Amino acid sequence: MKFLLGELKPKGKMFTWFNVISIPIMLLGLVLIVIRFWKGIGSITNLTQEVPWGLWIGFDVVTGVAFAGGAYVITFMVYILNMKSYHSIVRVTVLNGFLAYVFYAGALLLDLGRPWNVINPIIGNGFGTSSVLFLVAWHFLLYMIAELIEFSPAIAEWLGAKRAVKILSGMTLAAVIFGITLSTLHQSGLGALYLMAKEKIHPLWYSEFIPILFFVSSIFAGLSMVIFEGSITNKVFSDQISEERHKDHNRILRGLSKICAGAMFAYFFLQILVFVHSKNWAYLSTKMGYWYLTEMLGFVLLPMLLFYYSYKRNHILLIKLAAVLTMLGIIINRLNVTVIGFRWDAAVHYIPSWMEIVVTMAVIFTEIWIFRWVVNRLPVLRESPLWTHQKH
Amino acid sequence: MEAYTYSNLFDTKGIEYIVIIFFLLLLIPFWIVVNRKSEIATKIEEAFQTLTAAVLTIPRGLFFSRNHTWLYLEKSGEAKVGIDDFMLKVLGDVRVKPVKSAQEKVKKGEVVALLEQAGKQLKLRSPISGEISRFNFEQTEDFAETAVDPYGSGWILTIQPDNWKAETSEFLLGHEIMPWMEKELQRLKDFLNVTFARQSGAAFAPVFQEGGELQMNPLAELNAEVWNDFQNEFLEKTE
Amino acid sequence: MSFLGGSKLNAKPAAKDPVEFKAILYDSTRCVGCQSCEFSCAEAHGLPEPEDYLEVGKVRKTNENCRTVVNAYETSKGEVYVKRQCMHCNQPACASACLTQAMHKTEEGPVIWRGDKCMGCRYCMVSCPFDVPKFEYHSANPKINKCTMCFERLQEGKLPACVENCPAEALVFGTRRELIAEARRRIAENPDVYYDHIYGETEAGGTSFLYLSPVPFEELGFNTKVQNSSYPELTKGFLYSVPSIFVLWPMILLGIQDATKKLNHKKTDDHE
Repeated sequence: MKFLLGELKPKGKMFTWFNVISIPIMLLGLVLIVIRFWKGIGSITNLTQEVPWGLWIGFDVVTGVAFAGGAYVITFMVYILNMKSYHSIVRVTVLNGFLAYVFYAGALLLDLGRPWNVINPIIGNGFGTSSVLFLVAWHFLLYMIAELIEFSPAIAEWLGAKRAVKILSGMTLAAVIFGITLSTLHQSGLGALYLMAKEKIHPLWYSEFIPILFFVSSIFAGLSMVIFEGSITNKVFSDQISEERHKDHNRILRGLSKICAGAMFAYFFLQILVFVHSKNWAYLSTKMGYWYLTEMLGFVLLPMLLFYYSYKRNHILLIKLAAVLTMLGIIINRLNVTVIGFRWDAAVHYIPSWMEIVVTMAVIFTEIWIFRWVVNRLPVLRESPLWTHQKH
Repeated sequence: MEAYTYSNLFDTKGIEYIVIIFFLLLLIPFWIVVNRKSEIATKIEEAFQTLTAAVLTIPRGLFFSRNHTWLYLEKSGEAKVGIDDFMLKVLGDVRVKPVKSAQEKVKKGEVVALLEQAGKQLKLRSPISGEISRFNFEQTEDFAETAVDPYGSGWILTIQPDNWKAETSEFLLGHEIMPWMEKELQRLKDFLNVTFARQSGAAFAPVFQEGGELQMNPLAELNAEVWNDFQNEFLEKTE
Repeated sequence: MSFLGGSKLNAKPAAKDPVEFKAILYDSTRCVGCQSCEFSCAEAHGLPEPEDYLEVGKVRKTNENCRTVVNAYETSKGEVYVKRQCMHCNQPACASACLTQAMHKTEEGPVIWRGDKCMGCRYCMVSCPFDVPKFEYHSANPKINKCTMCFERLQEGKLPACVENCPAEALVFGTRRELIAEARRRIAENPDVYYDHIYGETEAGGTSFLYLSPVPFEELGFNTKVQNSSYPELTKGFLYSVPSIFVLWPMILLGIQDATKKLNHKKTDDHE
């Protein structure tokens, strides 16, 4: 107990740039959340009866979960394909994935009209098995548990619980397999949510293949986030990372960029197939058509080529640039399906209010704070304590 | 579509999910059982594993003396000494009994320990001269360490060498080790052939499987006399 | 054949065979735009009375306080009135979307909202092709508001409030089968009065609120691009592949993991 209390004390400087920017936003977000619960969702959002889902669902949940896809891809590579060379980034990616789901499920609670009833589909006050959202909600819950199990050896190591480390490490493979299966289904499920809104989403973004497109794009969305976030954490927490790992990092980046290039290649052609199948040619010459082309060519094709080029030439900076472009492309794509293309023909377009944006940022900053707290204390980036290595 | 009465498109979904839960719960024991059998099968395989060069682990960075001892020079200047995987796989279960003690001086070629098994023993000669720092007492009591990690935690003793460079100049290193091991295996086969020719009547079975390959731990089944001969043939050279 | 006008309920409830959907037929050739239905609906459900009137050019919509509206349209045959509310689809998108079964298609036909289950996720609103459910955005305990075909009144043996109070007999209550037959009859007997289509017969896979109109339905603000099969069918493909993936993925992953782990055992030990 004393150990835990000791760990709760803050480490590091108080007045870093990040702290100075994030704390006021987090406090403001808290105030806004109180208002939201007091006066209703409409008091701080611009949602309407025609556009019931806006930034919080479209960005926080749908895009955020796509970015958290790195966890299932990396665990697939390390535990299923036995690509041990990526082992060093498993823990931090799983931690990020876990925190992402926790916080985006949390953000989702803010968007619910009656959050206290969220347990209804869980306890059985109505199992809406016909609903895609039922599936997505359950998968989120189960996936968070699976991620927690995958991450728990790090917690056990921190607490010095040797037996627990052994037991939990034995459960890793099962948790990984479960997690990958769940991820496949809920990444595509988030896309399937919009299947019934057939006439409400612009034809260039609506098709029956949305689930598959979401799933495939979550692969490179997650890996791009791993590249992006890995570059930042390697700088910020560089004192925790051994020499060896630092050198390793560039090799890992190269490997990831190759995988991204491949996945994006497949995705690009899937999009072409969907386009041809839906006979959307006429839309290309409209405003939305230009926007669609921008998304496909500028934010899918271009970063794919950059990934390919920087892989071949081992150009680390370009890999990071390509990752950022890819992430922007994913944000654009998800927002196109959920917000921009949704009811694009409405008389009054939905634009998120500044309050929605502040709450979103507050959620993201809180997540980063927790991430920082964990990384500073648990063996995520640093090596595990010696006693875990003595297996013989 | 002209529907006039209630019909549920998804009425079986609830049951399907329950079936899935059962499937996943059953999958865990199923997979464990399927794999456990093969674990036993692998153990059996190992027991009947042929002693070929492929089975021997060859570490990097160690010096090998021709009496099947290895040396590792630590940064502190001390040399760790142990017996190699060849010896372990040939002999099987042995206990190590030191005949010298710590801080005693020893010359190259002097006996420092005995390898004992069921009343039989082999003499372990020191590959270098120097002062013995200590024996790995944990290891000498518990054989398990040596068997699992003969080149790491299974070391036998450490020596402060007097004349490292001169005495190790003939030792084997790196790429030389594997060909030498293969030759030693061949020599072992010949040795056993000759032994059986002399002791005709002893069972062939424990030694030779089909194809003429050696079985694991061939010396474990053989008597003290053979061990003496083995000592002379394999453990006397300390270059 | 017993269908009902603004008077008493006549039909006997079906005893053992499956209950047939109840429906409402709205004939806009008979509607005079008096808004009695709006007022009686508000009264029956404790909602505020409508304060605005019909006006050509102004399209009024239902909202969190109003379950039905009548609009006026200038058409090729003059001014026509249209009452809009929940369509009570046979396979409602909202009920299939609701993860707590708060939106519920009753056996008798009406689609109702059960507040004790609702968590306010608004997925029903996303899915409804007619944009019917309306949400109380400014309440701390928000409700979803929409026409329920006066389900509680039906349980008591009464008619829906709007049907009972319509002075022009534009609204008729009965089973869906009867009402479609009646609508067809009206079209057949008066081909120059009616536009030859019953809106709701096949739209969204068939609805229980049926419309007859003198003019093509686009002129009355109806969405004629609504598909003619049910909306939940669009998610059927995905939802039915879920169990298969739950079975296949673990097996494939276990297989790959088993196959690749042997590759690592062959390597020689690498001591640091």
